[in-house]
Amino acid sequence: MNEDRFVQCQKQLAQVKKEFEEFVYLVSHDLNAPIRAISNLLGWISEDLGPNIPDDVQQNIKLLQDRAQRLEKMLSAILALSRVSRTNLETGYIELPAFLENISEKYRNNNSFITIQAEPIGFTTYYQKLSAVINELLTNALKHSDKELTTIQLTATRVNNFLQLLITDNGSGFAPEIQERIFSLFYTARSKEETENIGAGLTVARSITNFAGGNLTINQAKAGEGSSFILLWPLHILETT
Amino acid sequence: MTEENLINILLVEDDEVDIMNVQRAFRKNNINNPLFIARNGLEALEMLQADKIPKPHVIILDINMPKMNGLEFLQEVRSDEKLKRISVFVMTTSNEDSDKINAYNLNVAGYILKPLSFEKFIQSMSTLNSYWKLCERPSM
Repeated sequence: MNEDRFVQCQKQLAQVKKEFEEFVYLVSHDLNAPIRAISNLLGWISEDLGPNIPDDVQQNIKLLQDRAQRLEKMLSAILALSRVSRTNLETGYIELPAFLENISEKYRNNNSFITIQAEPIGFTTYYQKLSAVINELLTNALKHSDKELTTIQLTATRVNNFLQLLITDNGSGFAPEIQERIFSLFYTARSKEETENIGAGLTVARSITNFAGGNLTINQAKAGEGSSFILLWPLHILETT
Repeated sequence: MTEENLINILLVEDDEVDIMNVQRAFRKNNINNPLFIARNGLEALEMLQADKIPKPHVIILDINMPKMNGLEFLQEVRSDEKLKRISVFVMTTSNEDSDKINAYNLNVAGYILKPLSFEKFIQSMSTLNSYWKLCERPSM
Protein backbone atom coordinates (compact mmCIF):
# COMPACT_ATOMS: atom_id res chain seq x y z
CA MET A 1 0.00 0.00 0.00
CA ASN A 2 1.48 3.34 -0.92
CA GLU A 3 1.60 6.18 1.55
CA ASP A 4 -1.21 8.25 0.01
CA ARG A 5 -3.55 5.31 0.10
CA PHE A 6 -2.59 4.65 3.73
CA VAL A 7 -3.32 8.22 4.76
CA GLN A 8 -6.62 8.07 2.92
CA CYS A 9 -7.58 4.85 4.72
CA GLN A 10 -6.72 6.39 8.04
CA LYS A 11 -8.94 9.37 7.28
CA GLN A 12 -11.78 7.10 6.27
CA LEU A 13 -11.37 5.07 9.43
CA ALA A 14 -11.46 8.19 11.57
CA GLN A 15 -14.59 9.34 9.74
CA VAL A 16 -16.38 6.01 10.21
CA LYS A 17 -15.38 5.98 13.87
CA LYS A 18 -16.81 9.45 14.33
CA GLU A 19 -20.04 8.54 12.57
CA PHE A 20 -20.35 5.42 14.69
CA GLU A 21 -19.89 7.36 17.91
CA GLU A 22 -22.48 9.89 16.80
CA PHE A 23 -24.89 7.09 15.94
CA VAL A 24 -24.43 5.41 19.32
CA TYR A 25 -24.86 8.73 21.07
CA LEU A 26 -28.07 9.54 19.22
CA VAL A 27 -29.60 6.10 19.70
CA SER A 28 -28.85 5.93 23.40
CA HIS A 29 -29.96 9.50 23.95
CA ASP A 30 -33.24 9.20 22.08
CA LEU A 31 -34.14 5.84 23.60
CA ASN A 32 -33.82 7.35 27.04
CA ALA A 33 -36.93 9.52 26.76
CA PRO A 34 -39.50 6.70 26.30
CA ILE A 35 -37.83 4.63 29.02
CA ARG A 36 -37.99 7.53 31.43
CA ALA A 37 -41.66 7.96 30.49
CA ILE A 38 -42.40 4.27 31.19
CA SER A 39 -40.66 4.54 34.53
CA ASN A 40 -42.60 7.67 35.50
CA LEU A 41 -45.95 6.30 34.35
CA LEU A 42 -45.44 3.15 36.41
CA GLY A 43 -44.75 5.27 39.48
CA TRP A 44 -47.88 7.31 38.85
CA ILE A 45 -50.09 4.25 38.26
CA SER A 46 -48.91 2.77 41.52
CA GLU A 47 -49.40 6.07 43.34
CA ASP A 48 -52.88 6.62 41.89
CA LEU A 49 -54.05 3.10 42.76
CA GLY A 50 -53.25 3.88 46.39
CA PRO A 51 -52.39 1.41 49.14
CA ASN A 52 -54.96 -1.28 48.24
CA ILE A 53 -53.20 -2.80 45.25
CA PRO A 54 -53.21 -6.64 45.24
CA ASP A 55 -49.80 -8.02 46.16
CA ASP A 56 -49.17 -9.66 42.79
CA VAL A 57 -49.95 -6.43 40.93
CA GLN A 58 -47.68 -4.53 43.28
CA GLN A 59 -44.95 -7.10 42.69
CA ASN A 60 -45.35 -6.87 38.90
CA ILE A 61 -45.18 -3.09 38.99
CA LYS A 62 -42.00 -3.34 41.01
CA LEU A 63 -40.47 -5.82 38.55
CA LEU A 64 -41.37 -3.55 35.65
CA GLN A 65 -39.83 -0.56 37.41
CA ASP A 66 -36.63 -2.51 38.09
CA ARG A 67 -36.39 -3.51 34.44
CA ALA A 68 -37.01 0.03 33.25
CA GLN A 69 -34.30 1.23 35.61
CA ARG A 70 -31.88 -1.39 34.36
CA LEU A 71 -32.57 -0.38 30.78
CA GLU A 72 -31.91 3.22 31.75
CA LYS A 73 -28.59 2.25 33.33
CA MET A 74 -27.61 0.18 30.31
CA LEU A 75 -28.27 3.10 28.02
CA SER A 76 -26.26 5.42 30.24
CA ALA A 77 -23.37 2.97 29.98
CA ILE A 78 -23.60 2.88 26.18
CA LEU A 79 -23.71 6.66 26.24
CA ALA A 80 -20.61 6.74 28.47
CA LEU A 81 -18.82 4.38 26.08
CA SER A 82 -19.71 6.54 23.09
CA ARG A 83 -18.28 9.58 24.84
CA VAL A 84 -14.92 8.15 25.86
CA SER A 85 -13.09 9.92 23.07
CA ARG A 86 -15.04 13.16 23.48
CA THR A 87 -15.14 13.86 27.21
CA ASN A 88 -12.66 14.48 30.04
CA LEU A 89 -9.92 15.41 27.61
CA GLU A 90 -8.33 17.93 29.96
CA THR A 91 -4.69 17.20 30.69
CA GLY A 92 -2.82 18.07 33.85
CA TYR A 93 0.26 17.26 35.90
CA ILE A 94 -0.22 14.65 38.61
CA GLU A 95 2.06 13.24 41.27
CA LEU A 96 2.04 9.82 42.83
CA PRO A 97 1.33 8.77 45.50
CA ALA A 98 -0.78 11.88 46.29
CA PHE A 99 -3.04 11.27 43.28
CA LEU A 100 -3.81 7.73 44.46
CA GLU A 101 -4.29 8.86 48.06
CA ASN A 102 -6.89 11.42 46.97
CA ILE A 103 -8.89 8.90 44.99
CA SER A 104 -8.71 6.17 47.65
CA GLU A 105 -9.78 8.41 50.49
CA LYS A 106 -13.47 8.27 49.67
CA TYR A 107 -13.47 4.48 49.58
CA ARG A 108 -11.97 4.10 53.03
CA ASN A 109 -14.43 3.08 55.74
CA ASN A 110 -14.92 0.48 58.46
CA ASN A 111 -15.32 -2.27 55.88
CA SER A 112 -12.40 -1.43 53.66
CA PHE A 113 -8.67 -1.16 54.11
CA ILE A 114 -6.73 0.37 51.23
CA THR A 115 -2.94 0.52 51.20
CA ILE A 116 -0.85 2.38 48.68
CA GLN A 117 2.70 1.67 47.71
CA ALA A 118 3.94 3.97 44.98
CA GLU A 119 7.18 5.23 43.54
CA PRO A 120 7.21 9.01 43.43
CA ILE A 121 6.21 9.60 39.79
CA GLY A 122 5.08 12.90 38.32
CA PHE A 123 3.68 13.21 34.81
CA THR A 124 1.19 15.05 32.62
CA THR A 125 -1.78 13.03 31.50
CA TYR A 126 -5.54 12.84 30.98
CA TYR A 127 -5.91 12.94 34.73
CA GLN A 128 -9.73 12.77 34.75
CA LYS A 129 -9.60 9.67 32.61
CA LEU A 130 -6.97 7.99 34.78
CA SER A 131 -9.00 8.89 37.83
CA ALA A 132 -12.15 7.38 36.27
CA VAL A 133 -10.36 4.10 35.59
CA ILE A 134 -8.94 3.84 39.11
CA ASN A 135 -12.31 4.76 40.61
CA GLU A 136 -13.91 1.98 38.61
CA LEU A 137 -11.33 -0.60 39.67
CA LEU A 138 -11.78 0.31 43.34
CA THR A 139 -15.57 0.28 43.02
CA ASN A 140 -15.36 -3.09 41.34
CA ALA A 141 -13.17 -4.56 44.08
CA LEU A 142 -15.51 -3.35 46.81
CA LYS A 143 -18.68 -4.36 44.99
CA HIS A 144 -17.58 -7.94 44.47
CA SER A 145 -16.10 -8.41 47.89
CA ASP A 146 -17.39 -11.32 49.94
CA LYS A 147 -15.30 -10.44 53.00
CA GLU A 148 -16.30 -8.43 56.02
CA LEU A 149 -13.15 -6.39 55.62
CA THR A 150 -12.10 -5.80 52.04
CA THR A 151 -8.42 -5.11 51.66
CA ILE A 152 -7.13 -3.50 48.51
CA GLN A 153 -3.49 -2.98 47.71
CA LEU A 154 -2.43 -0.40 45.12
CA THR A 155 1.13 -0.76 43.87
CA ALA A 156 2.51 1.76 41.42
CA THR A 157 5.83 1.44 39.62
CA ARG A 158 7.39 2.89 36.53
CA VAL A 159 7.86 0.35 33.75
CA ASN A 160 9.61 1.88 30.74
CA ASN A 161 7.30 4.62 29.48
CA PHE A 162 4.36 3.40 31.47
CA LEU A 163 2.93 3.67 34.91
CA GLN A 164 2.13 0.16 36.06
CA LEU A 165 -0.58 0.06 38.66
CA LEU A 166 -1.51 -3.19 40.36
CA ILE A 167 -4.86 -3.32 42.10
CA THR A 168 -5.11 -6.41 44.25
CA ASP A 169 -8.03 -7.33 46.50
CA ASN A 170 -8.91 -10.14 48.90
CA GLY A 171 -12.30 -10.85 47.29
CA SER A 172 -13.50 -14.09 45.75
CA GLY A 173 -11.77 -13.38 42.45
CA PHE A 174 -12.92 -14.56 39.07
CA ALA A 175 -12.75 -18.09 37.69
CA PRO A 176 -10.08 -18.29 34.95
CA GLU A 177 -12.66 -19.06 32.25
CA ILE A 178 -14.50 -15.79 32.79
CA GLN A 179 -11.46 -13.57 33.24
CA GLU A 180 -11.63 -12.11 29.77
CA ARG A 181 -15.43 -11.98 29.68
CA ILE A 182 -15.62 -9.60 32.62
CA PHE A 183 -14.53 -6.85 30.23
CA SER A 184 -17.46 -7.53 27.87
CA LEU A 185 -20.30 -5.06 27.92
CA PHE A 186 -23.21 -6.12 30.14
CA TYR A 187 -21.46 -9.23 31.43
CA THR A 188 -22.04 -9.77 35.14
CA ALA A 189 -20.32 -12.44 37.19
CA ARG A 190 -23.34 -12.80 39.44
CA SER A 191 -27.02 -13.01 38.48
CA LYS A 192 -28.50 -9.69 37.44
CA GLU A 193 -31.38 -10.39 39.85
CA GLU A 194 -29.24 -10.22 42.96
CA THR A 195 -27.20 -7.21 42.05
CA GLU A 196 -27.86 -3.72 40.79
CA ASN A 197 -24.77 -4.14 38.70
CA ILE A 198 -25.30 -4.03 34.93
CA GLY A 199 -21.82 -5.11 33.94
CA ALA A 200 -20.47 -2.04 32.23
CA GLY A 201 -17.89 -0.54 34.61
CA LEU A 202 -14.90 -2.62 33.53
CA THR A 203 -15.87 -2.25 29.86
CA VAL A 204 -15.81 1.52 30.20
CA ALA A 205 -12.56 1.38 32.20
CA ARG A 206 -10.86 -0.67 29.50
CA SER A 207 -12.20 1.54 26.74
CA ILE A 208 -10.83 4.65 28.49
CA THR A 209 -7.48 2.92 29.02
CA ASN A 210 -7.27 1.92 25.36
CA PHE A 211 -8.09 5.47 24.33
CA ALA A 212 -5.17 6.75 26.40
CA GLY A 213 -2.86 4.18 24.82
CA GLY A 214 -2.67 1.95 27.87
CA ASN A 215 -3.69 -1.56 28.72
CA LEU A 216 -5.98 -3.06 31.34
CA THR A 217 -5.85 -6.76 32.12
CA ILE A 218 -6.65 -9.13 34.94
CA ASN A 219 -3.98 -11.29 36.46
CA GLN A 220 -5.02 -13.93 38.89
CA ALA A 221 -3.84 -17.36 39.92
CA LYS A 222 -6.98 -19.18 41.00
CA ALA A 223 -10.62 -18.51 41.72
CA GLY A 224 -11.14 -17.68 45.38
CA GLU A 225 -7.79 -15.99 45.77
CA GLY A 226 -8.82 -12.43 45.13
CA SER A 227 -8.30 -10.60 41.92
CA SER A 228 -5.48 -8.50 40.68
CA PHE A 229 -5.85 -6.01 37.86
CA ILE A 230 -2.86 -4.63 36.00
CA LEU A 231 -3.22 -1.17 34.57
CA LEU A 232 -0.54 0.11 32.23
CA TRP A 233 -0.92 3.83 31.61
CA PRO A 234 1.42 5.82 29.35
CA LEU A 235 3.57 8.46 31.06
CA HIS A 236 3.38 10.59 27.92
CA ILE A 237 0.27 11.80 26.19
CA LEU A 238 -0.07 9.97 22.92
CA GLU A 239 -1.11 11.80 19.80
CA THR A 240 -4.52 10.34 19.05
CA THR A 241 -6.91 11.19 16.30
CA MET B 1 -47.59 35.73 47.30
CA THR B 2 -51.31 36.19 46.79
CA GLU B 3 -53.31 34.24 44.27
CA GLU B 4 -53.67 37.12 41.80
CA ASN B 5 -49.92 37.73 41.76
CA LEU B 6 -49.07 34.31 40.42
CA ILE B 7 -47.01 34.58 37.29
CA ASN B 8 -48.04 32.86 34.07
CA ILE B 9 -45.94 30.00 32.82
CA LEU B 10 -45.74 28.66 29.32
CA LEU B 11 -44.46 25.12 28.84
CA VAL B 12 -43.19 24.34 25.35
CA GLU B 13 -42.88 20.57 25.18
CA ASP B 14 -43.83 17.92 22.62
CA ASP B 15 -43.77 14.81 24.79
CA GLU B 16 -47.13 14.08 26.41
CA VAL B 17 -45.59 12.30 29.42
CA ASP B 18 -43.12 15.12 29.99
CA ILE B 19 -46.06 17.54 30.05
CA MET B 20 -47.77 15.31 32.63
CA ASN B 21 -44.47 15.27 34.52
CA VAL B 22 -44.56 19.05 34.90
CA GLN B 23 -48.27 19.15 35.73
CA ARG B 24 -47.88 16.43 38.32
CA ALA B 25 -44.81 18.06 39.86
CA PHE B 26 -46.74 21.35 40.05
CA ARG B 27 -49.55 19.61 41.95
CA LYS B 28 -47.09 17.87 44.30
CA ASN B 29 -45.45 21.18 45.13
CA ASN B 30 -48.76 23.06 45.38
CA ILE B 31 -47.65 25.32 42.55
CA ASN B 32 -50.86 26.92 41.37
CA ASN B 33 -49.50 29.20 38.66
CA PRO B 34 -51.49 29.25 35.42
CA LEU B 35 -49.70 26.80 33.11
CA PHE B 36 -50.15 27.09 29.35
CA ILE B 37 -48.89 24.46 26.98
CA ALA B 38 -47.57 24.54 23.42
CA ARG B 39 -46.43 21.39 21.58
CA ASN B 40 -43.62 22.95 19.57
CA GLY B 41 -41.85 26.24 18.96
CA LEU B 42 -44.09 27.32 16.13
CA GLU B 43 -47.27 26.75 18.13
CA ALA B 44 -45.76 28.64 21.08
CA LEU B 45 -44.73 31.56 18.88
CA GLU B 46 -48.20 31.80 17.36
CA MET B 47 -49.80 31.71 20.80
CA LEU B 48 -47.53 34.51 21.98
CA GLN B 49 -47.64 36.76 18.93
CA ALA B 50 -51.42 36.47 18.47
CA ASP B 51 -52.00 37.06 22.20
CA LYS B 52 -53.92 33.78 22.44
CA ILE B 53 -52.74 33.42 26.04
CA PRO B 54 -51.89 36.01 28.71
CA LYS B 55 -48.27 36.96 28.24
CA PRO B 56 -46.15 34.49 30.25
CA HIS B 57 -43.41 35.68 32.61
CA VAL B 58 -41.58 32.40 32.43
CA ILE B 59 -41.18 29.86 29.64
CA ILE B 60 -40.04 26.29 30.26
CA LEU B 61 -38.60 25.12 26.97
CA ASP B 62 -37.65 21.74 25.55
CA ILE B 63 -35.02 21.69 22.79
CA ASN B 64 -35.72 18.69 20.60
CA MET B 65 -39.16 19.30 19.13
CA PRO B 66 -40.75 18.99 15.68
CA LYS B 67 -41.55 21.95 13.39
CA MET B 68 -39.55 24.55 15.31
CA ASN B 69 -37.09 23.41 17.92
CA GLY B 70 -36.41 25.14 21.21
CA LEU B 71 -33.34 27.08 20.10
CA GLU B 72 -35.01 28.35 16.92
CA PHE B 73 -38.00 29.42 18.99
CA LEU B 74 -35.70 31.15 21.48
CA GLN B 75 -34.06 33.09 18.67
CA GLU B 76 -37.48 34.36 17.55
CA VAL B 77 -38.41 35.34 21.10
CA ARG B 78 -35.20 37.29 21.66
CA SER B 79 -35.62 39.25 18.43
CA ASP B 80 -39.22 40.17 19.21
CA GLU B 81 -39.50 43.54 21.00
CA LYS B 82 -42.57 42.45 22.94
CA LEU B 83 -41.29 39.05 24.01
CA LYS B 84 -37.56 39.45 24.51
CA ARG B 85 -37.70 40.06 28.29
CA ILE B 86 -39.36 36.74 29.14
CA SER B 87 -37.29 34.45 31.40
CA VAL B 88 -36.69 31.19 29.63
CA PHE B 89 -35.58 27.98 31.32
CA VAL B 90 -34.40 25.24 29.01
CA MET B 91 -35.40 21.81 30.24
CA THR B 92 -34.03 19.06 28.06
CA THR B 93 -32.33 15.69 27.94
CA SER B 94 -29.58 17.08 25.72
CA ASN B 95 -26.27 17.12 27.56
CA GLU B 96 -24.41 18.49 24.53
CA ASP B 97 -22.16 21.47 25.12
CA SER B 98 -23.19 23.01 21.80
CA ASP B 99 -26.83 23.16 22.94
CA LYS B 100 -25.80 24.69 26.28
CA ILE B 101 -23.64 27.34 24.62
CA ASN B 102 -26.34 28.24 22.08
CA ALA B 103 -28.95 28.48 24.82
CA TYR B 104 -26.86 30.71 27.11
CA ASN B 105 -25.93 32.90 24.13
CA LEU B 106 -29.66 33.52 23.85
CA ASN B 107 -29.79 34.58 27.51
CA VAL B 108 -31.62 31.71 29.11
CA ALA B 109 -32.21 31.98 32.86
CA GLY B 110 -31.06 28.40 33.28
CA TYR B 111 -30.26 25.18 31.45
CA ILE B 112 -31.67 22.19 33.26
CA LEU B 113 -31.24 18.53 32.40
CA LYS B 114 -34.49 16.59 32.77
CA PRO B 115 -33.92 14.60 35.95
CA LEU B 116 -34.12 10.83 35.58
CA SER B 117 -36.38 10.19 38.54
CA PHE B 118 -39.72 11.81 39.25
CA GLU B 119 -38.63 12.56 42.85
CA LYS B 120 -35.73 14.65 41.54
CA PHE B 121 -38.06 16.31 39.06
CA ILE B 122 -40.37 17.37 41.89
CA GLN B 123 -37.36 18.90 43.69
CA SER B 124 -36.23 20.73 40.56
CA MET B 125 -39.70 22.20 40.07
CA SER B 126 -39.79 23.31 43.69
CA THR B 127 -36.42 25.06 43.27
CA LEU B 128 -37.61 26.79 40.10
CA ASN B 129 -40.78 27.88 41.88
CA SER B 130 -38.77 29.45 44.72
CA TYR B 131 -36.54 31.14 42.18
CA TRP B 132 -39.21 32.79 40.12
CA LYS B 133 -41.10 33.80 43.28
CA LEU B 134 -37.94 35.55 44.44
CA CYS B 135 -37.48 37.54 41.22
CA GLU B 136 -38.98 40.99 40.79
CA ARG B 137 -40.51 41.81 37.43
CA PRO B 138 -41.63 45.04 35.81
CA SER B 139 -45.40 45.42 35.47
CA MET B 140 -45.97 44.50 31.86
